[in-house]
Amino acid sequence: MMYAYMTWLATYVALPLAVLWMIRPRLAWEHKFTLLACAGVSLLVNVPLDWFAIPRGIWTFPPGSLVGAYFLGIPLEEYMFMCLLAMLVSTIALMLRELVYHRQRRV
Amino acid sequence: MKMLPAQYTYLSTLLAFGLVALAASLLVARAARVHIMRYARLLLLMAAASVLLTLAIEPPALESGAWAYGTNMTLGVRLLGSEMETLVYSVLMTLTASIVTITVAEIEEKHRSRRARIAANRNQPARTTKM
Repeated sequence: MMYAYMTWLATYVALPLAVLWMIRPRLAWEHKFTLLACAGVSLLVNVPLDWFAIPRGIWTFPPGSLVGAYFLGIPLEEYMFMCLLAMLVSTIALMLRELVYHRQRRV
Repeated sequence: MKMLPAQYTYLSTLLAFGLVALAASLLVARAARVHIMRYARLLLLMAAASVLLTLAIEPPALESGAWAYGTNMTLGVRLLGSEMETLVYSVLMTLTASIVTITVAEIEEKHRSRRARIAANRNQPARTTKM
């Protein structure tokens, strides 16, 4: 499938993240630094992991699955995966934290 | 020198990176004086959510050919279409991201309440003393 990775990212990661941010825009805005910090930590851990794993063939990208843009030897989709998934997890954690610990006003 | 059979490559790589990241996040939380154990329930919920999320989103990625795992690099144990190693890494990374989230959110909230307190004090009328 052409651009399978980007299509998968848009469907299974970016779309749920956008929906969660639309449901609770204030929560996302108030914790923008938290979300950015999570994306940063994810890059810090997963970029070296990719540097290690991709040349050794631990995981591979079938021909045509990528858009073809690379940065430091890692496909663009991988960077998007690291940042978007970390922000999705962080958003879910913030929502559950509020729900379980009743920390903030609900919007 | 090969220390492990090839099929442990994926698992050992993920465990090495995932455990270091988790330990580092715990150290950062401790340095920031955030009591992570207060959030044990949330972390358990997040671990369970990460397994469900991975089971929901990884099989479509493998089926559509977004990525593939190297032959003989995995144990070959699959749970509902997801590699067992991916599930383990997903739990480790979710716990790391959750600890970072809790730590930074607490720091953000402390700063916000301190700023609000300072603003409230500034708006209070000056106290008069009886002579």
